[in-house]
Amino acid sequence: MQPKKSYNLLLGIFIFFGIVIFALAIYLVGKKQNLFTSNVKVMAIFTDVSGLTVGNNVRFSGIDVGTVSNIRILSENEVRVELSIQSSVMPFIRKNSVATIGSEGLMGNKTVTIIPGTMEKRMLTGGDTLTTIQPVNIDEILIEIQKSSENIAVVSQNLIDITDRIKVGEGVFGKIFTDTSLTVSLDKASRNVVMITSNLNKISERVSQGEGILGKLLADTAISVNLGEASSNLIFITENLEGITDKINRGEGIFGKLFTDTTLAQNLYQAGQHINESSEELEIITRNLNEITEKINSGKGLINKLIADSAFADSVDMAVIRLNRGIVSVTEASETIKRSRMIRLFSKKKKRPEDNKSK
Amino acid sequence: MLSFSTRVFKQKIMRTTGQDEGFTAQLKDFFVDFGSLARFTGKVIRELFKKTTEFREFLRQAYYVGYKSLPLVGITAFILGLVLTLQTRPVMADLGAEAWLPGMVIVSIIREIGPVITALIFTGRVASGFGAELSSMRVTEQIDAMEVSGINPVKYLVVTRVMAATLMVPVLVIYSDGIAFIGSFFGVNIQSSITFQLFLKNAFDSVHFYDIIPATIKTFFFGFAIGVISCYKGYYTDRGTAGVGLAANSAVVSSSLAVFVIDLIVVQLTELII
Repeated sequence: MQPKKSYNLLLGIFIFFGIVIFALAIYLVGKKQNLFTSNVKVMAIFTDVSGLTVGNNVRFSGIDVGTVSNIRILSENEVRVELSIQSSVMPFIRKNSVATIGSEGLMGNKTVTIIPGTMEKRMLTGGDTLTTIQPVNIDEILIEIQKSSENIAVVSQNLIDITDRIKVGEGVFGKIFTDTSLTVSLDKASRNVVMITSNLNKISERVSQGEGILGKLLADTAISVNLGEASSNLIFITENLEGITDKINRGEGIFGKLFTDTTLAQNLYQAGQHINESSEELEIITRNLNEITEKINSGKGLINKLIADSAFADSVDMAVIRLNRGIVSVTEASETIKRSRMIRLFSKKKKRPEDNKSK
Repeated sequence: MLSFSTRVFKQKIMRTTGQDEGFTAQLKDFFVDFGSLARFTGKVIRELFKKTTEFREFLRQAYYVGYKSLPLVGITAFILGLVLTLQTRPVMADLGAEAWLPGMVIVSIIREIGPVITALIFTGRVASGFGAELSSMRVTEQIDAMEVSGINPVKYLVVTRVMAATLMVPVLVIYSDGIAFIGSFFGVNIQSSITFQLFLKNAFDSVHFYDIIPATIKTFFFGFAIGVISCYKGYYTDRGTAGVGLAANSAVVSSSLAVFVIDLIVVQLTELII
C-alpha cells in the first residue's frame, strides 16, 4: 500500500481536475446559451414559428447574439417569441429592425434572424417588440414546386408534340429540318448574302475613300459646312416662322385677323354668301346668254343677221350711211330753218338763244 | 431463526450440490437473489446515512477505484473518440455535413457512449476486484472475525466501497468524455485540418444542458449499482476457493447487466421529462 499522503494527494488532484473539466463543459454550454452574459429581453410576434423552439439561436447580421428564451401562444394566429439578446449588441439593433425565422442550413435548427434597421431610428430597448416578417413555409414552396413540375410536364409534352411534328416535316421548322430544297435556297440565300456583304464592303471602301454622295458627305468638309449653314438657316427660318406664328396667334396682320378677328370672318362669310348668290345669278345669266348665242348661231333673229349675214350688214351699212346723210341733210335743213327770220318771229325762244344752247 | 446471510448460504449450497434444480427452482433462486440484493441494498443505504463513516477507508477505496482506473479509462476513451470519429466521418462526408462531425461525436460520447463504456470498464476492473476481495474475506472468515470483534463489516467493507464507486464513476466519466473529445479532435485532424477553437465551437454548438445533466446523474446510479452488486456477490459468496472466482465473475456480469438496465430506464425517464 502506498503512503497515505501520497494517495490522498493524487486522489485530490484526480477529483479536482474532474470537477474542473465538468465546470468547463458547463461553462461552454452555458456561454453558448448566454447564461454568463448580460442579456435583454425583446419580443417578436409571429403568425407561425415553423418549429422554432426554446434555445434556438438569434442571429443579427449573421452573428449569434442570443437565444430564444420563451415561446407563448397569444391567440389563434399570434405567437409571441421572447428573445434573449446580449446587451452589447443592443446599440446596433434599431427600432425598424425586422425579425424573421430562418434555418441553419438545409437540415439545421431554426433561427430567429434580425435584419438590421437604419441608424436614424432609435435603439431597441428591453421589452420592445420587433417588427416581423412571416417566414417562407416549406410546404408552400413544395406546393409551388409541384405546380411548376406540373407545368414542366405540360411544357415537355408540348415539346414532344412539336418535335414529333418537326420530325415528320410539318410547319416551318419541319421544312427547315426535312426539306432539302429549302437548304438549297438557304445556300443560295447565304451566297447572296455573301455577295451583298462583299458589295457593301466595296461600297463602304468607296465611301471611306470619299467617292460618291455618301463619300462626299462623310469626307467633304465643305458639304458639312454647307449643311451646317443650311441647318443654321433652317433654324433662322424656324425662328422667323415662330415669330410669325406668334404674331398670328396674337392677331397681328392680315393672317392674324384671319385667324383671330371674328367680325372679319363674319364679313368674309357674308361676302362668300354674296359671291355664291352672284355666282348663281351669273349662272342664270350665262345660261340665258348661252341660249341667246345658240339662237344667234342657229341663224335666228336680228342679231344673227347682224353678225352672220354680210349682205344684211352691207345693206345696214348702206342704210346707216344713207341715214347719216339724211341726218346731215336734216341737220342742215334745221339749221337753215333756224336761221330763217320767219321761223324766228314765231319762236318763243328767240330772246333767250343761250338757254336753248345750254339745254 | 436463521440469519439473512445464513439463509443465502444455505440456498447456494443447495444449488451447488444439485439438491434444487430445474427452471422453477432457478426462477425461484433468481427472485430470492433479487430480494436478497434489495435487502442488502437497503442495509447499505441505512449504513450510508449513519453518522459514523469509515472516511479513511473510503478515501483509500476511492483512490484505488478512481485514480487507479484512470489510465485504463483514459486510453479506452481516447481510442473510443478517435475511432468513433473515423468511423462516422465517411457517412457525414457523404451527406456533406463534415462540419457536424464534432457535434455528433461529442453528443454521442456525452449522452451515451462515455458513461456506458466507462461504467463497463469500471465494472471489469473494479466490480471483479470487489467481488473477489470480499468473497476471499468471506472464505477466509475475515468478515466473521470482524463481526465477532464488534466491527460492522457492512459499514467498513461495503459502504466505503459503494460510496467510492458511486462517486468515482461520475469523475471517471467526466475524464472519459474529455479524453474522448481530444481523441475525436485527433480523429478529425487525421484526414482534414481543423483548429481546436473551431472544433470546440462546432462540438459545443450541438451540446445542451439536457445532454450533460441526465448523463451525469445516471453515472451516480451506475457507480452505486456496480458497488452494491459486486459487494453483494462477494459478501455472500460460497465457502471455498471456487466461490471466489464465481463471485468475481458473477459481480462483473451482474453489474454490467445492471448498467444497461439502468441506462435504459434513465434514457426513458429523460425522454419523458425533457
